[in-house]
Amino acid sequence: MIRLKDVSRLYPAKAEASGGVIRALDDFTLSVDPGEWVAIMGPSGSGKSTLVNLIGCLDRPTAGEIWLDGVNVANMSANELNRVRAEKVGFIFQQFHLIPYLTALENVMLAQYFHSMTDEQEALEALARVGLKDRAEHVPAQLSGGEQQRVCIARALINDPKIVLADEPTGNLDAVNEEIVLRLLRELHRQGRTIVMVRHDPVERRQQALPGQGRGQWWRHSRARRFHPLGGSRRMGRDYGAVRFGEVYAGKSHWLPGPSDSG
Amino acid sequence: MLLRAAILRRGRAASALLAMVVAAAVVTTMLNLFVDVQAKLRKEFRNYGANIVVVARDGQTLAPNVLQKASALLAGRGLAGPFAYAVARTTSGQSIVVSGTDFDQVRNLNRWWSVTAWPTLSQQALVGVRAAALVSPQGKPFDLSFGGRLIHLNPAGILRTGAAEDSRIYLSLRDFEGWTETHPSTIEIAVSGTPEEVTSVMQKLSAALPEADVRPVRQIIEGEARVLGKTRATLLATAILITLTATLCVLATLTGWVFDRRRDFAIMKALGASQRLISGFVAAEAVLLGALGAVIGFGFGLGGAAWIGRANFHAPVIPRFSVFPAILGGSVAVALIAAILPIFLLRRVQPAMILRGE
Repeated sequence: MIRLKDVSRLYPAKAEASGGVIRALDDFTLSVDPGEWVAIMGPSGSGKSTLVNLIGCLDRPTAGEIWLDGVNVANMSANELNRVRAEKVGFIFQQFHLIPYLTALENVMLAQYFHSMTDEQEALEALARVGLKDRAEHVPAQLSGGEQQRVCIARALINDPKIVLADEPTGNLDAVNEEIVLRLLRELHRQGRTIVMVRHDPVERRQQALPGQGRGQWWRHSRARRFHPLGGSRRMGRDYGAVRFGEVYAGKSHWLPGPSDSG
Repeated sequence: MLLRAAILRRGRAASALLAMVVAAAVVTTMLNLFVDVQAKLRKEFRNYGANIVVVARDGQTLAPNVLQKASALLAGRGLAGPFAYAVARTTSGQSIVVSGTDFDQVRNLNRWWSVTAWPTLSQQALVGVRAAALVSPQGKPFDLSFGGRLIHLNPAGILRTGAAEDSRIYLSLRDFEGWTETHPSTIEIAVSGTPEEVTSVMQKLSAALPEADVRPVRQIIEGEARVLGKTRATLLATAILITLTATLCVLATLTGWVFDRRRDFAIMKALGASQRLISGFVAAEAVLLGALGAVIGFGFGLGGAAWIGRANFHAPVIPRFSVFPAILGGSVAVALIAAILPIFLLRRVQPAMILRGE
């Protein structure tokens, strides 16, 4: 379903007086099968969100190939990427990113509008599936964080996407709402959707990982490096090994190491 | 969606709407004044008398149907007054210029004439103030002779113009023709309209009346053209400057308004909205903003024009609803022009960066 081959993403290092670049992803390779639930884990700055943005066609790779559902999206035009986003991908954001002046129902219908045409009944059913039918006419400011995230999930699912990208979907939620959201994600997984989820806190997740359940596959990922036009490259961190260390929330995890991580 | 976005960001929305309203109001005021002042000035210029004179060639008289032809050509857009002239003698043997005319036309044609009373009956005369001193110092009836034929006249009123008319005696055309058997040699015409329209009427008269000379009264026509031209140029230049200023204001506020909502547009892009669709949203919002600003500004502008009319011209300025389409179209155009930069900036919005909070 998702295949990344030697993907790199470089950003201009604005803070650098010499105009260097930051390598957020460097020759990254990943393959996700249909119906898999993959957790991307690592500390801040390790490139998790960059990876999700690339898979979600919100960003373009500097190099490499990104295949979604059998199509290489790396070199698609902006309009083609819009269609891919509308038809194949559903986003769940940590910050929810609902339009503040639209009701929950309208936020869901907005995604329908960009996909094809609106269907209020279908949007209400999507809200009902996340337990928010009675809050359909409330604007985001009138909803709790957990409720906003559930609206975000309803919006992500309204167009029946093959891929769901969740960028730290429980990062802003309390334990109760986190459990509700994860239950919804488990349900989506059971329905056969491919889920890529970014998680921030590796320690907690390691504790939850059950030794022996994972397949112990190693992924190599060299982390952020800054390149200077005159001085060649100066590696800011070491090469880290990333381990897919087990089934986490019924999924598998990729560990993207950070600067202080010992691997 | 626009309304709710506006409610959420009241400050920006109010600034953008205010800029549109002010621009539309000021331009409405200017256009109302322009149209109304133009009409008022034309009316004032018509009070100065004829702006075209038709004169018979070689000192002859005009054919009897010339007045009818000229009136038909004017088609209600002007006045035509015939004048016949003769030099008569008083009982004391002094020469005096006597004119036969149509008083109904002349009293409208020459509103600037100061007349104590207009003749209404046969053999009544309008006597110029200097002529009166000669023929009827006490306002009593008097006799005049022309070609050995006498006419007995009663002075109906005294005429004061400060010009040659003060030395003349005016009779009804019927009395004059019956007495002198002389027909009109001059037709004075006052045409309403722009200098171009007046010139056009002159050309038509020249073509229709080959036996007569059709001449402009240059002092009137050129003076009118000069004053109207300067008034028009001043008001239009002001309107253009205000429109430019308003465009910049709307540009700034609309850019800020869109910048404030860049996260919303980034979300829309993330959900699959095309750039064209998002540009369409912004353009539609600009059109709505322009239209709303035009409607509100038009109301304020009419009020402003009425106030300026009373304060400066001591006359009411008639509301010109005919300028509303121009205000509406102009406001929408200004809003759309002002939306070009925000739309261009939105094209560069990278949803990934905006949604990361950068």
